[in-house]
Amino acid sequence: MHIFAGQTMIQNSVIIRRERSLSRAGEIVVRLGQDVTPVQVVARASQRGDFYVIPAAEKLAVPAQEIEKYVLVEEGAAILKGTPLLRKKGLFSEKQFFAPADGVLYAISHGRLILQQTPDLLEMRAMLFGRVYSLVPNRGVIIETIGSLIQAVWCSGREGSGKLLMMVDRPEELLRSNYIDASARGAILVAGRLDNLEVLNRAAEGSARGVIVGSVPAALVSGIKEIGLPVFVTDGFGDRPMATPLFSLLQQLEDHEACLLDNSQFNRPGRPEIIVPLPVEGNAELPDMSLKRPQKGQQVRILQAPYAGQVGQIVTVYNRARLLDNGLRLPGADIRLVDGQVVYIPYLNLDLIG
Amino acid sequence: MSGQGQEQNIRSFLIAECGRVTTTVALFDVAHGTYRLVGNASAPTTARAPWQDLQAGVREAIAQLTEMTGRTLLTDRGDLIRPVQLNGTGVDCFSFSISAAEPLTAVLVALLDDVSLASARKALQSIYALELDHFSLTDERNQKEQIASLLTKKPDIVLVAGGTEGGADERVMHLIETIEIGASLQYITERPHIVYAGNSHLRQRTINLLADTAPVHIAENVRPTLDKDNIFDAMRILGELYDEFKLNELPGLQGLLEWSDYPPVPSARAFGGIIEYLAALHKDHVLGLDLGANSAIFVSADPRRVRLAVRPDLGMGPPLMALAEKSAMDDILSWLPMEMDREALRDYLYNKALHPHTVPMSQEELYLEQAIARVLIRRLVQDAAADWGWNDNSAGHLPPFHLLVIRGHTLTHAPRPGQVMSMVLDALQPTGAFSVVIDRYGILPALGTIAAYEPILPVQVLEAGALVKLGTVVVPVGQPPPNQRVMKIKIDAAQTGNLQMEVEPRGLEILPLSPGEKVQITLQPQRQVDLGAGPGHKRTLTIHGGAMGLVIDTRGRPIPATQQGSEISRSEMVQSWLQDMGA
Repeated sequence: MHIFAGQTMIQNSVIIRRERSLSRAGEIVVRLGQDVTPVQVVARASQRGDFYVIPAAEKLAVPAQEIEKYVLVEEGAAILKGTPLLRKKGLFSEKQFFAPADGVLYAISHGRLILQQTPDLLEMRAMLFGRVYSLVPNRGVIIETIGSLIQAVWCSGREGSGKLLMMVDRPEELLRSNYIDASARGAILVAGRLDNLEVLNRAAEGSARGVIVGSVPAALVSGIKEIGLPVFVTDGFGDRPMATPLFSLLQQLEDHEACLLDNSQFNRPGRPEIIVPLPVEGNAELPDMSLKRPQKGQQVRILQAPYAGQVGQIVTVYNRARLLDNGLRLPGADIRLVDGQVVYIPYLNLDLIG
Repeated sequence: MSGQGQEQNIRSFLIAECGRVTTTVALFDVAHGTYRLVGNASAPTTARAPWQDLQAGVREAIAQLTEMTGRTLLTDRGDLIRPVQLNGTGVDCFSFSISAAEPLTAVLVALLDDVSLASARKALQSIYALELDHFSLTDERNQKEQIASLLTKKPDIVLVAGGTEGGADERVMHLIETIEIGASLQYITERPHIVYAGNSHLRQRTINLLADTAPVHIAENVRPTLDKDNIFDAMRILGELYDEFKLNELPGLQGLLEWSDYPPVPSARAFGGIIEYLAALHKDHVLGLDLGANSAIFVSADPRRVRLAVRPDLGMGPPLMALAEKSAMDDILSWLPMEMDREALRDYLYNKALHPHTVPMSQEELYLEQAIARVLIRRLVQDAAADWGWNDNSAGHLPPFHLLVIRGHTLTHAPRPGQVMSMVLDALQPTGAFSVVIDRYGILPALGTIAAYEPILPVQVLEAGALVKLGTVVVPVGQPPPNQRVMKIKIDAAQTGNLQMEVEPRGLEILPLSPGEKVQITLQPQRQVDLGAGPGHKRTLTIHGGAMGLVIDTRGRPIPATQQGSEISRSEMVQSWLQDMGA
């Protein structure tokens, strides 16, 4: 017997603490208690550049163990593109090879030269308006902010921030190219659904900072990743509308600065999140993250057809399993849908929202 | 076996299995002198955000078990009550198995695909591990591309095999040099551990080459000769690395370790252990199949050896996103009794990956999930058969086996037994005569976890009927001449009397036998037809009733994609098979 359901956090005015850390040791560049903005770098580390393996012994036609006689720079030496690396004089000719890029002669190994390009910087940005709550030694920080928190179900792997701009009036409406005008610049566009890449390209060309939709067809996933604009999906794949409570909350938050967090890159990955920092009157609290059981009165989202994506309220919870049309026998709850219809849904297909 | 005379040693056991999606707890105690399953319950696994505490899910499952059984197991503060108190609360021992951790990621390095690479893969598949790439002599990439792959994929380990004993193969050393360069280009903390399980004559050179670059672990050569592998030492080292890198990372593990009387066991190993036990019990070949949300496991055990294939890339949850490619989707669609739009299928796979715990509510979606299960199991078994050298037999079938044990929600909780049997037969496409049992209560890993410490417990729990018998299957190989029957069957049953029947080719026949009923059947195949004893040879079997009774599958192997000379569509064919099976 399984009487638990999924849980999705949609909360207003809560304390939110999120870790922003590098995947490797580096330098923290903000102070404890310092206010930060989304684009602000909080930690950085050097990132090794691309490398070249030059089969030196093969190029000069000499035994591997003799190659060091012909190498013109020392291991560890910084070199510029075009610097002579190898020279072998013959009776009538001279063979010479040059560095293909700026970098460091990393190693001479087994007759090969390994040249590593000049390192880049790996930077971790705050991606939130907030304050540095604590430091994660050598890695990054935990940032605290107060505001609204919405858990999404999928994101394209990119993060961003910008003002929320509602592109449609209803949670089932599609984002269309002709809705995107100059107001999209710097904004995060919110719509019920997305069904083509053209509209996403237009959003990117119009300098939008991201897109939040209820659903996208799974066939678009690889195209969305290629376009590179942060796309956050709140409900699922296919043509599901955005859950009404979530759409209503985003409507209320229009024009506020929202932050889109991927959360997948850390050691303990979490779901993608939409965070909207807000000035809060009174004392905000940390969200209740305990494991909840379905209870009468709770708002739920249904995860499976024929009611997939619909939101309702629990009217009765059952501990005993009941028979479904397909013969499965599972415990569940009666849910009152928006149109007043009451349907029995297994707990496993419910997502508690709130 | 009786528990008399052991009463002073009798203890109650609470055993948890922490999967990636669901945590299950099972309580075993003594009733009427033998161990019994008192009850089991489940809750979501809470190792990930937002909970980040594995123990929270175990507590919830225990709380639910208490509601179901009335036996209090936790204090008000959530601590486990141990040992059993005079008022009957608590439990004597706690232990757990685990598959909630991320898989270990690996790059395999070997010389020949069919030789050392196959052995290295077998060793890797004994744990929860993902093969990210492999380098071998057939690899057409140059050294830079191989190094770039290492740098991009950042494996936890590189498992190096290759070179039979006594050889001094410079080609192995060249591949190790590539690994050395690749590892040296990474930051020290990000370098993979190297497990060297190749030719022992190259060990010292390998250590000398890699010692300053990355941690090196030496295992016995996984392929000492061309025709023999020796993967146990490599399996041991890989298991230790998995525990070190992945298990110990799980938040909340410490709390469970403090409760536990025994070290945790990876669930796959626990399942493998119980299949090995069943093989010893039956003195025959036993197969185990577990289709979970985040991995699929296939076990083959006979009294001499156990083989384990753990595939974190195949499962009814997150791995489904990777299954949404053309050939897999074609395969799934080919097992549906109705037409379905390809894009709707892709969306379904992605949504199921997001919410692996969901269950189908319509008949069509139930069939869809069962079709997905068939494709996942088929891939699991076909890959394992190739890695284990089973494709070497002339017919390309699975070798004969006596018993198949199945688990995993999609298989064990299908509404009708015919659906379970259909999935198994379509996916495995086995031959011969065998029985199928279901781990309906999801307790086999728990039994495997405790078997080493309380061997009597699994014996008594299994004897008490913890596994549900689905039925006995007979699958002949070969087709009779046109217009002839495949075989004659004579049934001697005490309850229903004697019965004789003839079996048609290219179909499915069900002979219901109630649970508890025992019959003797004599199968006389046509001259061209083999039931496992040779073409035309008679077989006599004693079979016990079950949910399905006796199933005779004469569809042929491989199961034909379409029916020759018929205009019946594939979906109609699948539909008729399902109808035949009462599915």
